[in-house]
Amino acid sequence: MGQAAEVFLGILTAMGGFVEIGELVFTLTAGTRFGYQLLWVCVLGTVGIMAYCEMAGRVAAVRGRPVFSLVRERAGFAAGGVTLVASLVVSLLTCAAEIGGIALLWQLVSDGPYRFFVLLAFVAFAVIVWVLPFQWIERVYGLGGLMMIVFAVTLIKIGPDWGEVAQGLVPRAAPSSGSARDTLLYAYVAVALMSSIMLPYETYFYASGGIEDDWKPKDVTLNRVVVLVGFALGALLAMALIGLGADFFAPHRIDPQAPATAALAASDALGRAGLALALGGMFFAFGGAAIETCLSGAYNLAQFAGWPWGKHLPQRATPRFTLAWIVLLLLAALLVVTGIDPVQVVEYSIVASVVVLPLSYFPLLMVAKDRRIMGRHANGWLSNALGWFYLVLVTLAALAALPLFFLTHQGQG
Amino acid sequence: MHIPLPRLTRLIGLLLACACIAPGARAGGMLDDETGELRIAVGLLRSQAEELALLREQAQRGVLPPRYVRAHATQLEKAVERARQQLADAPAPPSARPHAESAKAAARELLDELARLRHSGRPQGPFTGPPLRARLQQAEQALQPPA
Repeated sequence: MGQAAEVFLGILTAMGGFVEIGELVFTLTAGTRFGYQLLWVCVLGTVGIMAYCEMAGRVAAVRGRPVFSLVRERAGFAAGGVTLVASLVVSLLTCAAEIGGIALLWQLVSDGPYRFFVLLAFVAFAVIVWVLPFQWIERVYGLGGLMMIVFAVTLIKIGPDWGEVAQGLVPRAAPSSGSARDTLLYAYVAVALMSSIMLPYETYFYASGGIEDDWKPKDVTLNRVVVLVGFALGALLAMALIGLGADFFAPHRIDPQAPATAALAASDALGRAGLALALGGMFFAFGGAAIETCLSGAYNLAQFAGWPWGKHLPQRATPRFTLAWIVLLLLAALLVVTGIDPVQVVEYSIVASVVVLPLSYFPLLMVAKDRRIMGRHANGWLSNALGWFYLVLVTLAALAALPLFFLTHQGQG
Repeated sequence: MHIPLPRLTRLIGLLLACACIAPGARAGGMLDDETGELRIAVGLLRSQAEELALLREQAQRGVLPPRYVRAHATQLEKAVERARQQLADAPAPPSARPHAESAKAAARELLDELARLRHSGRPQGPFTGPPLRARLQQAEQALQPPA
């Protein structure tokens, strides 16, 4: 495949894989509760995930080192072990939420039993990850996720107030309605929204994916273009979801908490075609994220422990890695088969994610900026400035996340 | 300059652990909004009533196939059950009890309507939607703490 085609496909895949169930829930919630006022958080989070994914991809391309190999080397076994356990818990919760979301979608289409679909999702994804090569998984789900564009089309059809959109891009510390409870909720949704955009598994998966795809130093530019353009387009989709919250669900006085509710916006504006695209887009987006999180957990464990890993190797050469992703997928399915509400799992996974972020980003920043390790590919002044800024920001967000979670009745008000 | 990375990472971990402990210690003092849980449960029911109205409206327009409507009603019914349980578990001070009772009655009406929709897949008969939604909205507003 030519370089241009590869870049183009990479951009589309990154865009299609940008939104998953956590982001869907929190972008819609942000728009419903605060209109366009939190749009700036979307931009802030996207620049953050761009900065750190670019670093992770660059380190993978230049040194062939994934994130958790660096975490263990740089943070030491004990602190690295804590980061590993926390990241595994987050991957498990996120994977469970995605599987629950897929089961809800299948139930909507077929009117069958939810628990059966949870188990079916486990079997289906286990077979898919076992059989399909890495690049196929990445592209099929990434490109399928592009159907989510239907939500942006829906918003355009509704006709947003562009003046409000522009105002929403200006950061503000508190919402326009100024009660203390509203301010706490605004802060919680802002932190959760940023966390849902900067999910830690995305960085782990992206770097491991670079190694799976056999990136070399010559691919540093490809990495940069894919991250910058693909994530920027993905962010537009996330912003469109905020817009739908503001311009469709808020006027209907609905707090959209489930995929079925989100789909009502597309069916309202675009009829059955809109409904089909919304359900298809969500299926690929959640499915891609379910696979990415279970693989990401297995990558982290294998990289930390020094086991052979990767989809590019035959299963018999990576027995512990293969067992790890199967067990993770199974545990995630068992968690949601108990009947726990997947949306509640989303809330917990997002809050847990933000707590893990600084622990993962810190070692990555240390390596990416180190000229002895990265040579001429080490961070420039912009990457360093962004790296430190976001490290401080996610640390503050991590400190605030749990108190805000409890003070806002788990983000409900 | 040599940065002792393991120590710095442990420091970040310690700060995060403090953040985990803080809410437990502070929750008792700060969550003095005694109708908070009740208001949230009523708010959920209000949102679910609005969603049901939209679902019915789209089903009547023929936008949604009956099988899809049945499945959506099944999922919404579960969500209403959870909100009703939350309502039952929420502490209600004497002044808030009439609103809690009104919301409980609305939840029962919602569940009845959802059960009908789940069986038929299309809206049948009149839905007491507007007054029901108005009742829930009123209860939610009455439970708002003073600004």
